[in-house]
Amino acid sequence: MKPILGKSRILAALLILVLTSCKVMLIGAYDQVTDENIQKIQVEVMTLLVKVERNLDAKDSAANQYVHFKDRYENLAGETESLKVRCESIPKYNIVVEQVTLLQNNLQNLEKYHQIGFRTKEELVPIKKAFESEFAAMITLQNSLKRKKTD
Amino acid sequence: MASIDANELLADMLKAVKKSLENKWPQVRDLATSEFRKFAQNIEDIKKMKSKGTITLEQAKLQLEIQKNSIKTVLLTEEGLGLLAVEAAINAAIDVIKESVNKIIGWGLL
Repeated sequence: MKPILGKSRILAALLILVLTSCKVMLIGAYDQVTDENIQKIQVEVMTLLVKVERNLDAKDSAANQYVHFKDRYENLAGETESLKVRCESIPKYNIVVEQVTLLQNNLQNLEKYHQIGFRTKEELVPIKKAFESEFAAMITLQNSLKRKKTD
Repeated sequence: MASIDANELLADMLKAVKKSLENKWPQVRDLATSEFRKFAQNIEDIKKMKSKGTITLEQAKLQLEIQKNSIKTVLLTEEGLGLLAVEAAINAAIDVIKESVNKIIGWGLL
């Protein structure tokens, strides 16, 4: 029996089905809560680093002791963990999840560094620059996802 | 003690990155150069801080680890922006044929 549709027609129909399945999405949609939380964590981390910097300027090493910052690190650990859980629940968000995981690692590294102690402003400079680059990159990606939503 | 030149370190690192990234290199060249320049500069600074006794080995390792994670984050953003560009290109291609295909087939397929 002759098939109702020829091979080429079946292929054309399949192509149309693929094309029609909706707009192609290779990376998850913009999530306002994620974006706002990244910015909130950024403010808290940069405030912490500026505080350390000011204490170094004032030569107040006592004020820079880890014990005075322990609560801040604990809050940041909780916030980044919550952010990671949220991002893991968003489809096609693996790049953002990976970025949040790297941020978590860096906050743990910063905490370990602080436990040993800051002695000079010189040692704080590369750390501050690294966090600035890290947050700038994360926010750039979030802004790009936001632009995509308006397409 | 031998000296460390950040520019030499940077040149060596960029050569390795370029080889590893191959055809993706032009896309990330500017950002990667800027990030690895900071990394090389930090190594030069660590040597100075070690001489002055203002940094421990553990702290030096933590500084570099923080920078490495930062570089990874920057490159992940580049990867995400690349995906968004591909996505936009595919959707633009579909949009171009949308009207005519819908008209010919007589369904609002696209």
